[in-house]
Amino acid sequence: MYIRRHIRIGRIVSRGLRLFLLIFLCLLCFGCGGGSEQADPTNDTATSIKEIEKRLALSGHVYLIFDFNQMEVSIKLFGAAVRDCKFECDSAALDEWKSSLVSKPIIEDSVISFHLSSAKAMVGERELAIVAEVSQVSREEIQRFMPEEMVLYFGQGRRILIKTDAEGTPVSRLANLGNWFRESADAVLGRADIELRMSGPDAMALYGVVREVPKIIIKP
Amino acid sequence: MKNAVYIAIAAVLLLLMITLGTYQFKGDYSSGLTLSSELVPEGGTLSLNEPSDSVVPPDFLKMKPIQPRQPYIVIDCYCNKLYLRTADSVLLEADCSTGSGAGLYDTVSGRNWQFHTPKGVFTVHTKLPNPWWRKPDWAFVEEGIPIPRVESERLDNNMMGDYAIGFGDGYFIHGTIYERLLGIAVTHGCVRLSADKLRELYHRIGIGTRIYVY
Repeated sequence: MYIRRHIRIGRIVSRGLRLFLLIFLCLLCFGCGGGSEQADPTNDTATSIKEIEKRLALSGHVYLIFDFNQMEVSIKLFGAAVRDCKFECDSAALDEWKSSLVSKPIIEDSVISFHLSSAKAMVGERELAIVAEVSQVSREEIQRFMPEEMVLYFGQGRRILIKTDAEGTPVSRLANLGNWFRESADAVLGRADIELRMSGPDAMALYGVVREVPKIIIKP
Repeated sequence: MKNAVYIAIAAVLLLLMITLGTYQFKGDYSSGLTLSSELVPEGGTLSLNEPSDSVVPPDFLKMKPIQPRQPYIVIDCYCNKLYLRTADSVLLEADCSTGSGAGLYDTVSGRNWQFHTPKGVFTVHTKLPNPWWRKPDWAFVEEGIPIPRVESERLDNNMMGDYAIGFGDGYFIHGTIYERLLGIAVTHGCVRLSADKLRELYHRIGIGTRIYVY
C-alpha cells in the first residue's frame, strides 16, 4: 500500500515536471520571439543615426546629412538644421547607387576632396578691386563662386556629382583635365557615383561647407 | 495531487518572473531610444575638453546640441547670407557682410589682429537701439592715425545704423553706411545688414535667441 502510494506520487511529480518543462520551453520560445522584435533593423538604424549625429553635433563643427529618401542634403551645426538643400536625381541611377551601398544601412563618412569644374563668379570685378585694395585680402579669398558643376569625393571612391542651372565658366582647365583622368580611372574601377541637380544658391552654400572638409552621414 | 498543484504554482511563478524579466529588458531598450532622440540627456553638460579643436566660444559649452523650437539666426559666411528660420521654414533672408579674414599689424605696439567672424553657436546677449560705436585701437591703426587718449574721440554715432544685436566678445549684427558692399566679406568680424532687414530682424528676435555661424 505504502509503495503503491509512492509510485502514484512519483507519477504525479513526473507529470508535473513534464508540464513545467513544456510550459517553460514554450515561454522561452515566446521570449526569444520578443527578443528578435527588439532587434528590428529599423530601430537599430534609427539608434545609430542618433548616436552618430550626437557625436558630430557635439564636435561643434558643421556636418552634412545626405538623405536619399527625402532627396535633400541637410547642412547642420550643433544639432540644428542651418540649411536644407533639396535635390533631384534620376531614379534608375538612384537605385543603382543604393544597391552599391547595401553593405550598411547608414554610412558615416567625410568629404575627402572636391573639385569645382565650372562656376559663376559672384563678386563683380569693380567691387573685387576696391575691396582687395582696402582690405589687403587677395581677390581669390574675396571672390565667391556659385557652382555650375562640382564633384564631391568620399571614402572608398564614392563620388557625388552636383549640377545646377548657374551659367558658369571653367574655373581651371588644367584642374578639369586632372579631374577627367580621375573620373575615368574611377569608371574603370567601377566605383559608385551619382548625379544630383539642385539650385545654384543651395550648391553655393554646400560648396562653402565642403571647403571645411565636413563629416557626413549618408542615408541611402 | 497536492504536490502536483504546488509544482504547477511554482512553475507558473517562475515563468512569470522570467517573462517579467524579459519585459523589463524591453523597457530599458525603449528608454535608451528615447534618450538618444535628444542629443544630450536632460541635465547633461559638456566637458571642457570635448571640443578642444573647436572654434566655438564658451557660450556653446552651456548649450544642448538640439534643434531649437524657437526661431534662430543662421549666418552663412561663405554666401554672406543671414537667415532667421525655424526647423521647417525661413522667416527672413538677407544679404549681409561678414569678416574679411584680413590681418592687421601695428608696427608701433607690435599687436596683430585677424578680422574673422567667429564660427560656431552663440546667443543674442544685447539689443541696442541707436548704438554708438566706440572705435577700438585697430580702427585708428588701420587709418594710420594716432590712437586718441580722450575717450570721446573714439565715439561714432553714424557707423552702426539704427540697431545693434550683440552676440558676445564685442561682435554685433548691425547696420552699415556701405550697403552696396552687402554680399561681400568686408567687415572686421561683425555682421552688417541693410537698414530695413536689420529693423525687421531686431523686432523679431529676443535676448537668448540662438545664432549659428558657419
